Amino acid sequence: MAMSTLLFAKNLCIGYHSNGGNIQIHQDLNFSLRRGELISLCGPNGAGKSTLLRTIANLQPPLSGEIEVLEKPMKSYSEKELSHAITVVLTDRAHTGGLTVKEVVALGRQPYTGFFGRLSQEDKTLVDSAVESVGMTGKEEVYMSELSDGERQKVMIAKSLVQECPIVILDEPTAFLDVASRIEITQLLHDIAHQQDRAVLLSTHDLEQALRLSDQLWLLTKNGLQTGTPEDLVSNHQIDTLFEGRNVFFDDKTWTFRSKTR
Amino acid sequence: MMTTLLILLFLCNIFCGSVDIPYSDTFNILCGGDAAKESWRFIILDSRLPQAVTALLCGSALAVSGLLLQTYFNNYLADPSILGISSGASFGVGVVMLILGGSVGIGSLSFSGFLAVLVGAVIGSLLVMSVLLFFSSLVKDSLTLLIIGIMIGYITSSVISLLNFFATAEGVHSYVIWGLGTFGGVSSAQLPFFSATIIIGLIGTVLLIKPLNALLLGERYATNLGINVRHTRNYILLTVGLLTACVTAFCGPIAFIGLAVPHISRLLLGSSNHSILLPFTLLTGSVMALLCNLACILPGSGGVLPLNAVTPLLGAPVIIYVLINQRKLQYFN
Repeated sequence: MAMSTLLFAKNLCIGYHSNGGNIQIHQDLNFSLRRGELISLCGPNGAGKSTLLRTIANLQPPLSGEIEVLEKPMKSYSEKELSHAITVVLTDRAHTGGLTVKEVVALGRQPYTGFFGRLSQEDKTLVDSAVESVGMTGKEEVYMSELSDGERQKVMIAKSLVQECPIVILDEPTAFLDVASRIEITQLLHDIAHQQDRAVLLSTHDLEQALRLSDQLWLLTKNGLQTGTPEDLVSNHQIDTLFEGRNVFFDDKTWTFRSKTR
Repeated sequence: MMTTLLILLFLCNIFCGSVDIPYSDTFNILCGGDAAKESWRFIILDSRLPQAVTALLCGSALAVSGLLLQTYFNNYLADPSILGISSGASFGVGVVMLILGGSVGIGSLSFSGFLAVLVGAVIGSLLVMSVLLFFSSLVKDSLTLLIIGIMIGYITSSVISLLNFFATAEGVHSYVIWGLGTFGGVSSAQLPFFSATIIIGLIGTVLLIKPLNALLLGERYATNLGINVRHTRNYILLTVGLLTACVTAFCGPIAFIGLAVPHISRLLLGSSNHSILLPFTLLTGSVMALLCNLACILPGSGGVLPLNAVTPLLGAPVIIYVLINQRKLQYFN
């Protein structure tokens, strides 16, 4: 039977190593990622969302604490092994203008391909279906440089799909998208979590969307991380912790955000 | 088509030269037959043939080094000579020449001399590479890194000048001649060792195709795709160091081939996918080098032009074109 907890962190302390010592952003973080769940990470700018996501994806070392992935300590994984477990979509600027959509999506197969990265028939089928699932069919041979920001983001999501990892981590996947694409992508990620039984963790500023579609909500503020289902967080009035010192509140009757002044 | 061009240029390099040799005789000599004059035989087999082979290999080596650096540093103006790696190799060569008495011309070296010069050049270039690497961890901005590379180049050049100050007049002379650049610096006796070293380096670059493609996404994405970025980086730097050092030691610091050829290749191919771009760059590099070598012997009986007088004429316009059209070229965006 497939285990339901894919990843958990205990007493995790995140931040940066620097010359003068460690710059600690958060300490004592405890959380877990389970199969079949879409988890939204929300928090004000500068709260450390990207740092947290990068630490979970092992793209930056934790200052202390433990992360276990698929019941093994993260530290015991090689890059190669971890590339089968966790896939990411980042906000990093890629230099892929000279590659076609298909070529970029196919890069997601690198953990499985041989020395020269030659694609098997199975790889090609996976690439095609991933391109289709993000709604980019017909643009397979288009250069990345000719795409809009939103389309590029969809391609990167397709890349992470073909990597076939149980854990999918996305840093603001809908940031550049228009309203329609934003809803499509979030729905797509929701379906991936539920139908393909993966854990999808994404950071977003779109709190209303997150409340509606997420199975779990993570609120990251300077006071730490609060986790729970959207319903629980709303009924415990925890959503408002995001707006400490700001002129905004969450109306738990209508599930909307409003300004305190009106 | 590139392959045809390559073969054509290779033949041109053998059939043309500052001494007029009838084509029929050249053909005979190549086929192992006799020629009207014994000196012609010597010119073809001991001068033109090694020179053409050297150009072929050096072109590939420099071009692919440029490609690796451009992809790794995410900077389309990176190349061994701009980043100071060539001058690092020159520095190593200079030191070895000075230790060996300052009067050793490259052409007259024995096998152990060959090895000493090569090791000197490799150490020199790796030294510059490690300094660059140190700075690349400090500054994230690739333009800044490029300028630091240029500064390192200046520093090594000035140290070389200081070395020359202590060297004999003869040593300085041979150093200056070497600095002009030529593909004729490898004698037919040295050619097998030279070729073997370069070919090992070139095979090394072919093994990098997969991680290079991942690196187009950036280091974090590459790591997530299972690439050990640190190993890959060391591997890239070692390969570039070896190739640049080997070329520089024997042919002098040759500019612009490493810088321009990757661009020409991307423009002609319309792709930055290394599975096709890298082999194509190897080919284009050879073509460019043979073309430059041919241009050097154009004055005919008047003598031979220094290589570094020709490469910028072909390379610089390409770079200017690329810079002006930055916004239109797909691989920049």
